[in-house]
Amino acid sequence: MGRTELPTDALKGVHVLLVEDDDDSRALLQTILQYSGALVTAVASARAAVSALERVKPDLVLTDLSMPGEDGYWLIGRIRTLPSDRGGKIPAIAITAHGHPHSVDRTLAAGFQAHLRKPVDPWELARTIASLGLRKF
Amino acid sequence: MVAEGFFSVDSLVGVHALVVDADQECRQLLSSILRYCGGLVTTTASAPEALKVMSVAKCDVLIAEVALPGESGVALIRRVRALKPEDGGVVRAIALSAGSADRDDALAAGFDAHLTKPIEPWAMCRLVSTLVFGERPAR
Repeated sequence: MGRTELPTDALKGVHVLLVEDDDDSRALLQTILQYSGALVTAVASARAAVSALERVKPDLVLTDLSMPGEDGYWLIGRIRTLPSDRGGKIPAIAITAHGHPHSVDRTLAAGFQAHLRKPVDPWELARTIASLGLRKF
Repeated sequence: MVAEGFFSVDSLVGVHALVVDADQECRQLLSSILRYCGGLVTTTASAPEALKVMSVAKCDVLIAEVALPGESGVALIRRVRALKPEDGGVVRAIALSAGSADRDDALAAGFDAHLTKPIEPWAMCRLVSTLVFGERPAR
């Protein structure tokens, strides 16, 4: 299962901006990311994520695609229009809601680097983030 | 307990355990034991909440009280076993109960093992490790 390749500090030094509208899901994903050592800023909407990006520069954005109001596609569109020194090239991972038919090709074309489906495998999530080489220390 | 084969205090590193117990103190107790051994732990108080967790993140082991109020642990494991593998249906599962009377029903419904309260912490961690990794962990 590859667990031995995943120490609990696999994501140490990685700041993740987590965007998920469902409170329970957001708390669960935050717990998973923190278990692997990530620093997590968690917000409940795409607009809140844009506001957060005006204040901090995370290493990665992890967002649910299906959210009421502005969704994950709207968010990645906004991010990719930012200049690079304000986060425009930040790596981003999309999470597809359970049972929602989202095309991987569409998410990658929209500007995401990876696309994971719920239920998310915690270790696949950590591996995917770690594979982007974002660790600062 | 070490003589019985308890591996180490980090035996459960890389294991996502979902604890389902209606009693808050029991949830906290089980959670602290599993975290002490390195596990990633999520707790819920009911079967519907457990199924919601499993729809968001895959779990390696489900540890559920048999006598959950409302939808029981037996009903929960039947619903879990009906899930497709990609939806988390292949999770290993341990039933918890105050006595051994419902052990056979729990195993027949789909649990892999049964533990009786009071739980012996190292025996539980060793059981979880064995169920997830096999007889010997890969580290």
